[in-house]
Amino acid sequence: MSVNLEIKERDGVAIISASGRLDRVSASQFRHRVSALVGEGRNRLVADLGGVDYIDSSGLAALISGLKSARESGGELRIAALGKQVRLALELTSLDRVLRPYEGVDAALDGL
Amino acid sequence: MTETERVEESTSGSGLEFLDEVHAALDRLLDRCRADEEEGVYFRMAVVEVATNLIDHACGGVPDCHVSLQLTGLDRSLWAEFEDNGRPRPGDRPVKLPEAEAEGGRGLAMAIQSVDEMHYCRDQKGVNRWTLIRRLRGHQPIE
Repeated sequence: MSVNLEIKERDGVAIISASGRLDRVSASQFRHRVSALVGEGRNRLVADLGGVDYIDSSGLAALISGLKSARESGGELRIAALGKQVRLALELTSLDRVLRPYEGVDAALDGL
Repeated sequence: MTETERVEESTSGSGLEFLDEVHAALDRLLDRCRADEEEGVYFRMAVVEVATNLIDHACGGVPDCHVSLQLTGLDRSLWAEFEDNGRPRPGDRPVKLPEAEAEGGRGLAMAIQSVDEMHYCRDQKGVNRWTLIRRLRGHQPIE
């Protein structure tokens, strides 16, 4: 099962809306997409995870990779609209301290 | 009452179909067990991380590697028992979370933190066994 990624732009920020599973199978797809966006100079990103019903350690790694990629180019990546499992996975691994979850895309865009 | 689901796969390919089957089996078991939603989430995380670990490390590149998973829902606990004939788990190094910004190495640590018990052994025939147990706090009886 792959993850479906749709890219939109709002206020100069690339919003990546993900749906499906972000896991061992699809993590590289997410990683490459973010890398491509940053390579185009679009380094302010919001990952809308509202449609992600499951994330595993590979998916978390892809988010961290995306964050690093964005920051190395002077930008930022924020995550928004986490479902229950994604939120628990972040808390379990203390990654909610690195990737602060935003309630929704609007909140994540604020100040980005 | 006991509910069970079983998944078996020969990972001659990438083993990714196995992960789909694992998720599907968890869906069926957790639906019948009516475990508290959060308990089901934690149990799933542990099972999927171990399953992924087996595909990547125990069976990755090993021809005719066979993996099986037995899921059991009891009145007060959920069990996952993996068997594979792949590589042994390397050493007895403690499993812990890596630094926050590390891009890998979280899988087994996530699994351990999501269940009450996790055991590994390898028998003389070269079969690896992982056992995961999550006790149900809510004690929802299975009908």
